[in-house]
Amino acid sequence: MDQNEIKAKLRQFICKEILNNADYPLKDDEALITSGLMDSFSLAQVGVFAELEFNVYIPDPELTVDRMNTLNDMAFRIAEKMSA
Amino acid sequence: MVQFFSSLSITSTGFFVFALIIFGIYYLVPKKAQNLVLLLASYVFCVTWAWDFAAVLIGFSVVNYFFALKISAAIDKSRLRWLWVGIVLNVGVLLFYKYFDQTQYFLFKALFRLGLIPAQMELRILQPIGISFYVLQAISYLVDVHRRQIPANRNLLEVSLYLSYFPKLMAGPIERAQNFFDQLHANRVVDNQQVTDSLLRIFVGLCRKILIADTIAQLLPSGLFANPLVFSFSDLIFWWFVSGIMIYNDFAGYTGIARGISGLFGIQLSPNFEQPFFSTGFLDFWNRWHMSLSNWLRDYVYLPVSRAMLRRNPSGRYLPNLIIPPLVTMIVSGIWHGATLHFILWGFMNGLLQAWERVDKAFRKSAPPPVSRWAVVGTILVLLLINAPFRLDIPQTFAFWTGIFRWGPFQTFTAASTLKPLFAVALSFYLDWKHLATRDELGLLRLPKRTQIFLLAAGMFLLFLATRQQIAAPFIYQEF
Repeated sequence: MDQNEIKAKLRQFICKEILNNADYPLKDDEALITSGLMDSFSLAQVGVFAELEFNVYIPDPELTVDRMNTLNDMAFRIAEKMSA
Repeated sequence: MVQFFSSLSITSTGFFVFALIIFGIYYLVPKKAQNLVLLLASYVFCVTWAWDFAAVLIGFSVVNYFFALKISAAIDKSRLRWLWVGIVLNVGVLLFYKYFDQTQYFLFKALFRLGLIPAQMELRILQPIGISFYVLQAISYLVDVHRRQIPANRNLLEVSLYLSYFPKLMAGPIERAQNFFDQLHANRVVDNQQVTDSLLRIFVGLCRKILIADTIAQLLPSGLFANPLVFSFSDLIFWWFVSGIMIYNDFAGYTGIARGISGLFGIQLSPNFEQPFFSTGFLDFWNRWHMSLSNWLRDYVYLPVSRAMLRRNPSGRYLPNLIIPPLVTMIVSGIWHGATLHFILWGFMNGLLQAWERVDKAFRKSAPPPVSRWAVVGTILVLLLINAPFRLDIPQTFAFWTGIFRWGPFQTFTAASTLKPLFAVALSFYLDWKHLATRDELGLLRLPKRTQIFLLAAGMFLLFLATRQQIAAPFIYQEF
């Protein structure tokens, strides 16, 4: 699975489950947490989604604003774990 | 506990003389010996409070050093077993020192009735300085080793220094092992810019502690906390707000001094505050207040609880997923702060506020409205009200809440009674606003040179006056 596929699945999950707006035009490099779109506590949902959907575990200390602020950041982390 | 000589408070002249001596030795010895100098200095610092405190710290460091090695060497389930034994031991030591004083009467009474001791006893056991902080650091170290995020450190000196490093010993910041060990391994070079930055942190820290927190502490009406119903509601609102600014600057001042002193040794400590009085919501507040503790709680309590619940039911709108993790986290925070019911109430109410904010966000159909200034004002007013049990016990808390909503005659505020506290509040907001506006913690260094010189001279003059006129109050967070 490449990063674009990961991003597509993540985008769908975040827009529908966290932003409550499936049609939200979320960009790849749009700040999610620092812009206030989602709070850092919602990263737990992203962490569990990565476990269930991609079968990768992102450790808790990596679920931080500076590492998971955009779709690009999240997809990069997940792809990195998948290839490890 | 035996006390050798005057305990070194971080704003005392004695502490700065001590730090100067350590700087001298630190830069004279070969680089290889610098970590040893810092460790010995940390134990000397601890001994100035009580030699037993240093003994506890040394024993504690050795035990955690071995537990980390055991976790690292073990395989499969025994890794988890060693981790839990380590956590239980750390928490047990903390609970013993924090709660023994309150529970010993009942404990010895029960033992006496059972005939296990000949008479009712009373032991005087003091809580070692900083134990609440270094226990959290030890737990995070063991958990990180267990999660294989970091290898167990085979150097006992480095593990001991991580737990006992004197600038952060009394009240943090709560550092992560990886960040600290990396700096111990690095070739630490302190250039002119780092010296300037560190001195500014110390200067601003002293201003926050002495000019703001200590000034307010001296002016707070006596009996405000003990008997709030004696005061008019307007007095209660005014002084409660001012005392909130006092607690903030007391702790932010300490953190600034600790970070500044440490920066002079080439070791950067984590920030603890990011203008909490400009928060736009309750979750936002906890991302800005005592950040090293908030981050610790997030990583080692909130996220594990939240992820465990989400694995059972991944829905982001399932109410227990939204309510239980913040409640558990903030109750743990309350218990960590103190052994009394009012801290648990404080944690519970803050957890409820966070849960409410999360539920609101999860079920909101439309996009959230843009943040207004009123959100900042509202957040702070609600938090000041909710945080009453942080300073007051349960009956006093309810008396305070009754008093604040008891409409009555306004207190006549006079210039004499309000000028100094208002100056202190204004200075606190100026420092925060400057940081916020420049997005630079050291934004004061970017001011024109003349302004810098003026502010430095004014600050020094006011610090000189204040230290001559008022007695330094002990750091509030040192009690924890």
